[in-house]
Amino acid sequence: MSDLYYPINDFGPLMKGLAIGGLGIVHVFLAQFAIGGGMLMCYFQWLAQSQGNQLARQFTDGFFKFIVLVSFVVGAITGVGMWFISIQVSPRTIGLMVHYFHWLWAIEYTFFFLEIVSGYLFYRYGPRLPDAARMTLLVAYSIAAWFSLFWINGILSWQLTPGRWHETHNVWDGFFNPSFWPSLLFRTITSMTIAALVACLVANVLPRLERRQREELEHRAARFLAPMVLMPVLAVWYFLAIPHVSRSWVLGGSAAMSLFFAVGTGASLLVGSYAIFGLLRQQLYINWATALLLVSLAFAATAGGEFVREGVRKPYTIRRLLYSNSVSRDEVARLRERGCTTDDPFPLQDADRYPTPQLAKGAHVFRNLCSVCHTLDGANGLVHLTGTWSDEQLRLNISKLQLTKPFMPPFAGNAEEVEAIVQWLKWNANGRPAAWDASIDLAALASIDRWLEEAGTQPGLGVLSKDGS
Amino acid sequence: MFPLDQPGPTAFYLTLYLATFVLHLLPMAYVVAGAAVLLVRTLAGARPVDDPLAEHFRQWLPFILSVAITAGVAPLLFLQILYHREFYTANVLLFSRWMAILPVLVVGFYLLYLMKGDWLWQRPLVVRVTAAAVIFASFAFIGWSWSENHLLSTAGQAVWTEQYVAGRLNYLPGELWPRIGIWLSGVFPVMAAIVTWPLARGEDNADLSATASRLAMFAAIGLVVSLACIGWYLGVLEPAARTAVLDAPLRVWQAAFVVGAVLQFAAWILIWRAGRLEPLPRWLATAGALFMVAALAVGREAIRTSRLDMTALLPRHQAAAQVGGFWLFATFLVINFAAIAGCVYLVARYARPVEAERAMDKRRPQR
Ligand code: HEC
Ligand code: HEM
Repeated sequence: MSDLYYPINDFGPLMKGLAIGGLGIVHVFLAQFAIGGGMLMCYFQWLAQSQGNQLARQFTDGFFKFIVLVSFVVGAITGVGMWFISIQVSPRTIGLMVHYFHWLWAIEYTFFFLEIVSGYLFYRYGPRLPDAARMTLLVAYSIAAWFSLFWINGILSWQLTPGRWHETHNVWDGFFNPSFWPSLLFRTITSMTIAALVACLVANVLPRLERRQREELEHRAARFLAPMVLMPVLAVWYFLAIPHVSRSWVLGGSAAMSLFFAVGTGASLLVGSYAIFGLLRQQLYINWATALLLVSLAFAATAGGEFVREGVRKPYTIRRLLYSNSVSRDEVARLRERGCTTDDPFPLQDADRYPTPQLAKGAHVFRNLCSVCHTLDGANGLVHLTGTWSDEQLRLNISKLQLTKPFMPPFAGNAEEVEAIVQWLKWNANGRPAAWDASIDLAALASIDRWLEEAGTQPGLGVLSKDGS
Repeated sequence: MFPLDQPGPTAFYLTLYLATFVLHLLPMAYVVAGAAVLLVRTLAGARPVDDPLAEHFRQWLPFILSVAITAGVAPLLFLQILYHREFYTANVLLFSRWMAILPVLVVGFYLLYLMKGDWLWQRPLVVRVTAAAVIFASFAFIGWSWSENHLLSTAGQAVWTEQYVAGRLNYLPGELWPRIGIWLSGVFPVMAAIVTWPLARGEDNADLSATASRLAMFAAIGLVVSLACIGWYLGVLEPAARTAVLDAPLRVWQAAFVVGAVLQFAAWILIWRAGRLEPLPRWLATAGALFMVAALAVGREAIRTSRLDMTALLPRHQAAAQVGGFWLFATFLVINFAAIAGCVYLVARYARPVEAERAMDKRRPQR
């Protein structure tokens, strides 16, 4: 049974990618905070027990409460939220991920349990436990938290770089894919960074501490910023591992991608230089405002990074398998014959708004094939992108969609459907008049057919690997 | 015996789904009924410190809510393998109405932490009651949403299409009400059975008699109402679904259900008459609740499978069963649950009692 057709909702002016990206940033930031926070607490506990540092012990208890309150609640729920919003945007994508990797997710579930139990036990009983027991709980918590990153990282990086998996369909080939290690290490360091910066913030706001004590805490926490020097190397490694088209979009090929990338890199560089030169070398003391600024910069870096990660997969959600609009690569040829609206059991919600059936069909094509990346006249709005185009241009560029921009998938419908969406775009650009003539231009349909033929059913230039797969 | 009478891969995933779903239902019941008890007790003006039951929930609800959420992940996973198209379609159709469970969950969660602190208890009664009411309402809303989503997922293409075209963000068939009735009342005996264990271990056994009979009352009323709702539900089900529940493949589960109900009534009568939480009735109540929850989960699944074309789903289950990783999962399941047991042991063995801690604090020089 094919599961090509799902109902599709209108997200209004918001692009669907933005919805996932927006929640993703919050979730990733909090999750990484929890992971790095666990490690940092192990370090402070070690200071407490090996050097009898009472301050470190006190801080561990205070900071851990903070981790639990923030990450257990919002972190956990945004995690479930990511799952749900992925379903909203592309049920087929999440369906395939679950299908191929459900055991890894099931493994992650066992780590979640260890994480919440060890974490909560420390939160509740930590102050009443001897050092060895405290350390054991913290280590269990940190390992569990880090492993949840480990497992999910394999599944997410598989989407962009499935590597040998396409040949073998072996779960481990998919999991230990080309971008697995650079991405895992990069995220581990990010986690440590976020935790250290938040610790500086918390050290400033904890009550009843003297300035000297706040300073000591900050300098200890700042050690977790040192691994940031490896970030550039890991970033280069990551970029070498991802498909060269994705790389080229980030480096100028797509304005939006380059912008997000610049934001991410710029913010990371700022945090990194302040960390290395200010905090580590000069041993500066930072007040709560500076700490907050650094945390915000780290958040901006996460934001840039997440948008890039969501964006560079285009035109796929799972490389070489499924396009962003949930049409799989091997379905395009059939849909060219059959049309993408013909068998759809979900009709338009507002079919009677359109003067002609052709316009309604155009709206339907837009919904099925384009709405995942475009709005009509909001973010990445088609009316704005094509406002100045002639009919001919519209027909040509949409028929040859994957050649118009290689980060778009091939058009997965027939010639009537191209003409329908062209008419629908024109009708919208003309202010949606109540009367509109149906276009029955046979010559135009013949050209569209020829252009569709020329464009073929494979992805655009450069999206294919060198061997053409 | 259902679900083992299904083809291999389907039976395999159904079993995993059902086992992990029961593990979700237990903490879920504790949370929903616990929030209800907290609300009732707060309304009665009780301050947690004077009321072991309210105090228990105040302390433990935040953590058990984390457990309930985490425990939801596994059934969510197996559900998507078993019925991916149905589940996703219902999710997308309910759209923002469905996604609303997330912010609502955040609100409920933070209010629980607020309840746990002292700040709230220094506020006027109306503030405390409002907080308790919002907590309960948010969990009830989430459970309701799961029921709605579940029913929509089994409703079939014709209903989906109609629902989509109308742009309707809710789905309220007649069977929703008895269904919500079942779990909203059924959570009480389950919660009561679970909570007997920590309560009985508590130090100040002296005034537990009031608590014991109060608990017995909650459990008994919950049991009676849920049985009535089950009858109601069977009455409104379409014949095919009703047959699926009452048919031979479910004999063992029907028996488990009856035994579970009897055990629980016996247990709560004993507890009520003794005014104490003795070990025997605790065991009876717990075993009875487990039997009943398991039987309900299976019966609920039989209704769903009777509505779907299971043979059409089989190829997908077969393909999923070919994917590697199961043994590693089994290994980590053992390792991580052993590690969890180890953590609990550490705390049980080494945590100093609160009093000792206070005494130590006094001796410690002030910084
Ligand atoms: C994978 C996401 C994706 C899908 C699916 C997609 N597009 Fe695009 N499209 C883009 C992006 C990104 C741009 C670039 C926008 C920019 O340059 O600002 C774009 C640009 C365009 C442009 C302007 C091209 C130019 O040269 O300026 C048109 C026209 C267009 N898309 C039409 C469509 C139509 C029609 C569909 C559906 C049949 C579609 N797109 C599907 C991502 C997508
Ligand atoms: C306080 C929060 C929650 C409550 C009160 C709750 C309650 C419920 C209830 C009552 C059902 C049964 C619905 C029915 O059969 O009619 C259910 C099912 C389910 N819940 Fe939860 N739930 C909560 C949170 C969660 C979360 C966060 C998850 C996911 C991580 C989850 C996963 C599931 C799954 C997978 C099912 C089975 C759905 C199906 O089979 O159709 N639950 N929940």
